[in-house]
Amino acid sequence: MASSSSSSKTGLKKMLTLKSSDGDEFELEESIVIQCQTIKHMVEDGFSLIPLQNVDTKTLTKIIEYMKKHAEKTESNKEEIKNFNKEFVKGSFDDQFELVSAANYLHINGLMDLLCQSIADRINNKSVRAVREIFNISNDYTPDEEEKVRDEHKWAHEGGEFDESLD
Amino acid sequence: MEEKSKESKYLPLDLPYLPQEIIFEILLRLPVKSLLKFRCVSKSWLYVLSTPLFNKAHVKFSLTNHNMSNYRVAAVTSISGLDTICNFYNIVSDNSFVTENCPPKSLSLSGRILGSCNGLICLNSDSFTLTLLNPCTRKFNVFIDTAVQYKGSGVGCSVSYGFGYDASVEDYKVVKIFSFNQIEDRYENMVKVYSLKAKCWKIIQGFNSGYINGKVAIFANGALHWEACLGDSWEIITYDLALERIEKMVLPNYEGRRIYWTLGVSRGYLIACCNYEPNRADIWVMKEYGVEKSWTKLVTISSHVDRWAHISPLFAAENSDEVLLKIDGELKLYNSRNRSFKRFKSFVSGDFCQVQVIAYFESLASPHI
Repeated sequence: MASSSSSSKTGLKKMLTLKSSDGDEFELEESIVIQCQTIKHMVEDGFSLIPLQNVDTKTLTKIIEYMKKHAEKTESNKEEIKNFNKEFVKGSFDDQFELVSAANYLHINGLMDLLCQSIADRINNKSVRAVREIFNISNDYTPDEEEKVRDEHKWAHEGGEFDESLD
Repeated sequence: MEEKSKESKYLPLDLPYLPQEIIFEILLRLPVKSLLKFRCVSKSWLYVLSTPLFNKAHVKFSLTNHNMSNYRVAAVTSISGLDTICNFYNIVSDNSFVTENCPPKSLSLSGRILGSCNGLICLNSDSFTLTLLNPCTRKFNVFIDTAVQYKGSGVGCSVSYGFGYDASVEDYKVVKIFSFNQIEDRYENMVKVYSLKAKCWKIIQGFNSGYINGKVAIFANGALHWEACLGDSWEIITYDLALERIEKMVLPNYEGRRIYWTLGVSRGYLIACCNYEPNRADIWVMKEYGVEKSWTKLVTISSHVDRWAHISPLFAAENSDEVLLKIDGELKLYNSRNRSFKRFKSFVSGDFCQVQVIAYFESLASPHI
């Protein structure tokens, strides 16, 4: 296996291989990958090639980018990490949803928190209609039912226009 | 657990992008007003947002969220002989407030704030009833206050309140202490506890103490805290809501005669403010709850004004750069780096009125159990 030859090359550093659902393999140092709880448990069980059936190459590339950056985290580069995080969450909702599903599956707590907070911030001022579109949720209320739920907390629907855009 | 079988027929046919557990995590991070708005999204969102599981998780999340912008301030302003108004403020930026949450019109708020916990505020609305209010959802619950019959006659009685959450039985409780002066600074205290679940008051074991200066308790770590003094020595009286026990807690050591203490809670930590000179005060934080040695001085506040002001701490930032204080009738943000005070605009205050302030955070907590 490719991973065993390279782990001897790098000497002390233990390497792991992650395999995306598209079949692409990524070789990484164990110290980077163990930020991810799911993989950490597999490593403890003795795996060195880790197939990730729920994560495609595009998403895995982004996740690896995140884990590499966060493995560098020290006291002195807090600002740099902050800027990295800011850039990291800039993608479309669809991309963010792919990432958050993967982060949830892989149990990367920091990434999960970052993405959920960013999605929450982005939908905070959206209209109910826009949120349905973004999350692909169909309105299962009858007009009367919806009116009733709305009337319960009328003021939550007041106070300026809500954002109807879907990005 | 979150799925109800009878609701499954309402589930949309086309699959949503995200599983409910992720939706749950995203919703946790939204302000209460948006959560109330998004109840209209679909029946499954309404269901998630209505579960006690979500409400509890949201409270827990807010408790550990450390930004001052997540804090709200409730203020009761009494204009002597005229009227009392209760206002709720959002701290939106460094020095401005937005009055966003208005109490429901049907609620008369003519009284005082008696405590806050989990986003709920306890007030006494008139002489006979208490009100539990969630200013964000505008839901409230009115229940009966209590009094005591004292064996001695002609003895003055002072009253202190406390309001908190007993997680062990998932119940909100109001504690009322009646203090009767014995000799000099010594007081005999009778204690009554109201359980929201049981809907009644009961008498618990009383205790003796110095003068209970704190008329409103601070809720932290499952217990209520009042500052009390016996001559020049100060201590904290605590009441553990689960154990139903009164105990004493030590404050940091201060020599000096005219000192007085005030208490607060910030980011879950008990904080204490020692006013020891007309224009100086120290703010302390108890880093490890119940551990006397963990009292740590956060910041010394010095003002140019050479007069005794009554300072109470409302919020201390994690790096203790900024501390939100109530100084007499005003709200000020103290910056410890450049030792400056920022006054909050649009905050109702003035020499003619008495202001009572409490910090809380937004939650979906219901005032009914």
